[in-house]
Amino acid sequence: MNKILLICLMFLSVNALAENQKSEVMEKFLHSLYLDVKTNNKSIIAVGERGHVAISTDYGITWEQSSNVPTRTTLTALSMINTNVWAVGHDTTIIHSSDSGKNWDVQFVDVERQMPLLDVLFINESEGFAIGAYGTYLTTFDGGKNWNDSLISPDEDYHLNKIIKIDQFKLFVVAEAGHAYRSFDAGKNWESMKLPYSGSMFGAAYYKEQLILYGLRGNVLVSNDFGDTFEQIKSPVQDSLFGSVHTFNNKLIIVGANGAVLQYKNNALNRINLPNNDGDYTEVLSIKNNQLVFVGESGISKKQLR
Amino acid sequence: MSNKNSSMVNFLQNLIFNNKKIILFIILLITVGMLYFASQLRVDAGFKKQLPLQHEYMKTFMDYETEFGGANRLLIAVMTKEGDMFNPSFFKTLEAVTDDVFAIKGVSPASVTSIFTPNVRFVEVVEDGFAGGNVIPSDFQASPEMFEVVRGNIVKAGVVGRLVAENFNGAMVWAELLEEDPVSHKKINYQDVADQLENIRLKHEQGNEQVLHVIGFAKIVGDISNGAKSVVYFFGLALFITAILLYLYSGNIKLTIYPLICSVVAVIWQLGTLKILGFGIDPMNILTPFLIFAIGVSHGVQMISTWTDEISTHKHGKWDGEKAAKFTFAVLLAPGIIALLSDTIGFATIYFIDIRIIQELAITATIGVALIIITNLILLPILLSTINTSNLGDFCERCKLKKDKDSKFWRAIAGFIKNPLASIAVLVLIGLFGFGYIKSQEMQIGDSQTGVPELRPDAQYNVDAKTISSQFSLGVDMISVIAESSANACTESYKAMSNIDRFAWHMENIPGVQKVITLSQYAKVITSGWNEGNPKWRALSRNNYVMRQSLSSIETDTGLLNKDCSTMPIMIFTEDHKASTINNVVAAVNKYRVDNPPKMDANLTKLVSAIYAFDDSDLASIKVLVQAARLLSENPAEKYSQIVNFTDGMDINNSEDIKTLNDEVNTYKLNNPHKLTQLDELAEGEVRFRLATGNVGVMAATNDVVKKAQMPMLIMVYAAIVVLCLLTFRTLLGTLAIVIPLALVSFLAYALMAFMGIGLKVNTLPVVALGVGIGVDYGIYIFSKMQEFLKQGRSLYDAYYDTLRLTGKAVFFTAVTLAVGVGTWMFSDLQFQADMGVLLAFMFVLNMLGALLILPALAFWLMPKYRNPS
Repeated sequence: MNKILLICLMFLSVNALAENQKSEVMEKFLHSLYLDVKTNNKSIIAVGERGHVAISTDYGITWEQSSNVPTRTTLTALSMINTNVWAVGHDTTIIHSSDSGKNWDVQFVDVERQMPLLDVLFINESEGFAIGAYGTYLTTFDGGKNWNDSLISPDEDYHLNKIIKIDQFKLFVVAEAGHAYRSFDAGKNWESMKLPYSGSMFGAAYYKEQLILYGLRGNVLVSNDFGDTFEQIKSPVQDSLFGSVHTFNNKLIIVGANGAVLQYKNNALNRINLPNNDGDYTEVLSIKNNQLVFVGESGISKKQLR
Repeated sequence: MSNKNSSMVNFLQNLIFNNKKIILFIILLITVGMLYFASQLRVDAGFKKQLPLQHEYMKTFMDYETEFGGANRLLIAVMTKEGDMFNPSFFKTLEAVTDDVFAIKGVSPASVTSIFTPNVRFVEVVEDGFAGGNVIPSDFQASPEMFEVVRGNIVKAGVVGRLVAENFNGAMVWAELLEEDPVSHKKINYQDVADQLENIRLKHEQGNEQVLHVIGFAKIVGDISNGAKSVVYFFGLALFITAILLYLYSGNIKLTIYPLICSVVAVIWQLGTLKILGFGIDPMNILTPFLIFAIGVSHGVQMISTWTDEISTHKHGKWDGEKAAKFTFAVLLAPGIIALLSDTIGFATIYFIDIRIIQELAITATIGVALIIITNLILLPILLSTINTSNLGDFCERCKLKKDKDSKFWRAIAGFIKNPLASIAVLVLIGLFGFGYIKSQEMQIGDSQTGVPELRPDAQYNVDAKTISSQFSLGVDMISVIAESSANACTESYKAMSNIDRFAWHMENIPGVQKVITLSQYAKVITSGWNEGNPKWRALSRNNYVMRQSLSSIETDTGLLNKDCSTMPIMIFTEDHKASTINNVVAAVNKYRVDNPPKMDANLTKLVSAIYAFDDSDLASIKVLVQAARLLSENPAEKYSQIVNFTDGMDINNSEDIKTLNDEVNTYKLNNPHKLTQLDELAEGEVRFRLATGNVGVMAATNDVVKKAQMPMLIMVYAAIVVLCLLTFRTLLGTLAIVIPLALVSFLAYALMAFMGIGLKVNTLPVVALGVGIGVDYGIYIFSKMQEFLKQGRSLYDAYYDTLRLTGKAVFFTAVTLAVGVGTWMFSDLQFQADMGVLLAFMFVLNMLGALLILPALAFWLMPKYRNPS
């Protein structure tokens, strides 16, 4: 009886929170911090601070702020499968939309934990992973109706920064302080590993059969064997790298702090000079006509890649 | 005029003319003395003088002036002539300029900020934590590699756009000026500071590849004072023009010189009195002496005009200067006093605007006009009486000839006192009222232009300001909202910080806002820094430990928080300081406050007021304090815990206990200085947003005061005039005929301001009152003369025609002379003088037209019984 009451109370409090804390639609929403951008080829969605969800249905020409986001917390990442969108963020928040970002509901929130989720990945409409601070590892098999709350490794508490899918079975997670995790069985089991560089890796990409990790102070590691061995690539920048995209014309672009934009090609990195003073870039997305959508601390911008 | 009045006039007449020599001697003595004092008068500018200190915003300003600085900032930008700043010569210059700014007397040393000062640091994330240091490394030696390092540090320190230009083609030195020395309480000399700034500019521009741009209140004062010096030339020019016109008008050298002497004497007395009263002359008020001179001349002309008329009509058998002077004195005493009194009262009403500088203007002007009563109504008749009329035969012959000749011009003007012109004039009056009213609604309160409107748009200062705001992302216009919360709110209250952060974001969304800076943004960036610079951690943490760690490195000298971190300003940088921009920001702040009202803690409020009311000799106050403290005994905040804990077990009948309590109270008071505005105590985590400091905050308050003062001021001026006119002329309709044209001119003046883009502000508000004050003279003199003729039983038309021949002529002449005089200000270096010149010239001419054309038309309609001779 008490338990039911408690659950009811919790439910109420989540609802009350949701009611008060609806993200505010503001004039300059495009000029705030954005942390991730994804597309399902119809809509482009970017998420960021204050529960901002920006949606473009015309390849990034115009943007609209979603008015039905039930949180004002900083959203750090999103994942899209067709019209289903999941976004995660601080206060261990997970929100979901089934209509390409127009309407949202809260799937998971735990304010008391005082921990952010840092990435989310759905491999189909039911199976998904949300990872975050101190080894937080949430999984679902029903599209997020129920989340299984656990740790990626029972005795480690590193921040988990990024999760990527290599193929049907292989998954890779980069973490804090030179740590990483890989799974050969679609996330059932995770193997903890130590990278040759002791700093944090913020992102990873799978490009032309290579696993590419990038992170603190411009460090980039490349593996041809799913992490058994790594090669450190000489980096032209000292700026931390946060995001990457495999473009339509088959290039790998990596972006990061202080407007860093790099191209990776054949185990080498080259700086691409684009006109900007946007500050830190957090993520990048390729759209048609060789154009890139950059998100970061100055908001959202679209640039032509030569 | 009643008999009682005339016996009074007779008495004064005898008193004055029988003791001519003594009076002249006394006046001479006073003038010499006043000349001495006037020569001691110094220019006295001040920043606080321009603040409406009783306004809500300015109370906030004063409450936090010592903690966050006021709005008295200096900015010196060093820009390269070409190329970027990374060359040895630029760095040498910037360092030298920084050192020179430290050396300026009055600059708060802790506030000096440039990339060379230690309060600007950069932080970068490395594998094992943070690295940081001064932007210019201690082993700085000019070399391409070192410049690369410095460039990187500048970016990491986050000062691009603030201390370093967006394109790296220049850098700035900031400093805060303290108006009063904190130890000696001596006021700084703005002119000195401005001179030092100008020297820095000269010294470092000389033969260098850099250009300096200097802005700040001190520089404005300096530039305005320098510009104001040209007022001497304008004064000279006006004197010269007036003399020539007076000679053409009077045709006699003595009649030209005497009114000028009287007016100059009034000015000397006025300046001397100011010095004796301990005032200086503010550059903003430097035109007041000129106004006094103008009013003096205007009354003087009436006097010589009447005197000449008297002489030439042979009324007294012989051409006797003394008799004529006595007569003139008797005739003009009443209207003269009434006119000058209404001027005086008009100026005095300005005093009710609660801004020191305007009050000084009110005092200056009131004293000046009051003195004219002496110099013009006593000195001038005496001087006139000394004119030896025996050599004036030719002169008077000419006058008489002129007088007897019928004037087509004045006949035409007199046509306004009968139909059809009277009806047309009334229709035009109604039309102009409508037009004036509609157009005057467009008049802006405050500045309607960018830059400093006191100076010309192309003045050095405005060019400097424009360069700085185009090269740096942060302009010079800032309004700072002060967020008050509970002690240590920045680390202990997520609720308070997220409220402040949300407020800042709301402000950033207001049109016209360039950038908002507040502590919560730094907290977010540093929290991300502690997480290896990952932007995904750029959020406020609910974890108090994380917040303490993040904010531990932020010192109070950043101006982002106070000592116990209960108060955090939100600095809102605006694109400009136009009234519309200010109104947008203020409206948005007010809306946010209404939508998010802070909750108060009634018990805390009770306790704090009990602490301040505490008196260890008064048992009742002790009881109140103890009771209030016991309400909080559960879990008192740190700030109050000493007092609360002590009262818990104390015995209020024990004198030792009371002594200890008194000590606790005093300790509390020492640690929590009493604010000017003691507001209710906030509940935990609540935030109160208070408007406002920063230069735009000051303007917001000033605009508010000016807006609110405008109507009451005009009502008082008009009420005074109406009462005086009623008392003198004893006719309501006649009073209306005098006042209605004045009101029209007031509206038209506002319309002109709207048309010319002159905003109603501290400088221009008095012009309207002054204009009314001077304008009423014309009406009073004309009506007074006309009433005299009407009482002799003449028809309106005849009475008016004769009035015009005598008084009308003088009024016409005076208005033209004064308009030409103030018109010369259009060439002043100072925009506000040029604006005032145009406005005053406009008011002189229109008031004259109103008195000559509309007053008779109104008289025709309002006083029909006088249309035919009785």
